[in-house]
Formats: sequence, C-alpha cells, structure tokens
Amino acid sequence: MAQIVLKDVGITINGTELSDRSNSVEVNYEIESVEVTAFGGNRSFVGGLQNNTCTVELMQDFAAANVEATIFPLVGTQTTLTFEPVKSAGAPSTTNPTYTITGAYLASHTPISGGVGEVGMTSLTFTGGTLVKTVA
Amino acid sequence: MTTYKVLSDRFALGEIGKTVDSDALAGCNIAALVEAGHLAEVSAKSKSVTSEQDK
Repeated sequence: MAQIVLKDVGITINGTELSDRSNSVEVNYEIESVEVTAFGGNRSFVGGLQNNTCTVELMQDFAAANVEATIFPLVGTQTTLTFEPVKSAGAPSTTNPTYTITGAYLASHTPISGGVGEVGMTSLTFTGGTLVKTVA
Repeated sequence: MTTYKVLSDRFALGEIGKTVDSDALAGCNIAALVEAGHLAEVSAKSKSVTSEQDK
C-alpha cells in the first residue's frame, strides 16, 4: 500500500458535494476511556462512549445552492456526512474506504471569516453521530 | 412519501432535474436542502374522486 497524497478527497455534507470548495478536512473518532481501576491493581480502562469529530475548511461561496446556502440552515441540526480519500476512485474499496457519519451535529457556522486580501473561509466542526466505514 | 425535484448540480444523491423521494434522503436534513435551493418539493397531483350518486 502506497502513501497517499490528498488531492481529490470527496466531501459531501447533507448530500451536497462540496469537495471543490474545501482545502482541508479531518475525520476523527474516539472512544472515551472509562477508568475501572480497583484497589490492588494498576490503572485500568475500558471503552466508553464514542464521539466523532469532523472538521472541514471551506472556501466561502455565497452563490445560489453553494457553500453558505448549504451550511446556513444546518446550524443546530443533525445531518449526514460522507468522506472518501479519492473521490474519483468510484465505489468504496479497502484502499479507498468511505466514512459516513449520520446524525452529525453542527453547532456553529462563521459565514464571514478572514483578513484583508485573504480568501474568505468558513471552518465547520461536526460532532457526534454514528460512524460507518464502507469498503465495498 | 414525499418527492423532491433536484435543482442543484451539487446535490450528490440525484441528478439535476430528476426526482428523489424522502426514503432516499434518509439521514439528510431535507428542510435545509430545500432552503438551500438543492431540492424542491413536488406537489402531489390530486386525484379526482367521483362519487356515485343515486339517480
């Protein structure tokens, strides 16, 4: 398996393809460590609740049915996200798995962000939901 | 089941001009998709109901 350079990551937010407006993405999941250490032993942990966090950087676009129009009504709601390392690879496979998060919650959106002379960006952080990895 | 027409080429679950039903949109925030201009609800055609009348 070769290293991968991210050039063509597929990103859909609420069923909307926004890959060509993004330049950074991070999909993270973690399972909380719950301590069950008892007297007489070393520290011991078991898995607790899972949390998923997805951060997507988008270049803002106020055109119809584009970035801002898509994101604005999602704040305070849950939706579905999909991510794949190589969008053009087609169907999911072991070397190009698709990660789907249903019930991902978006708490906030910054429609206008950036300095003078910079590209207007918006950074989205989705949390929670259920993560499924698809390889076929 | 509600049917929606795809209005946007950014919508990944159906081609522009086609229709999708609410089952295919499971997990999506449909209200947000409509508000964003990606989908429009297709009005159901009302069926004409003819009642038999006693003559």
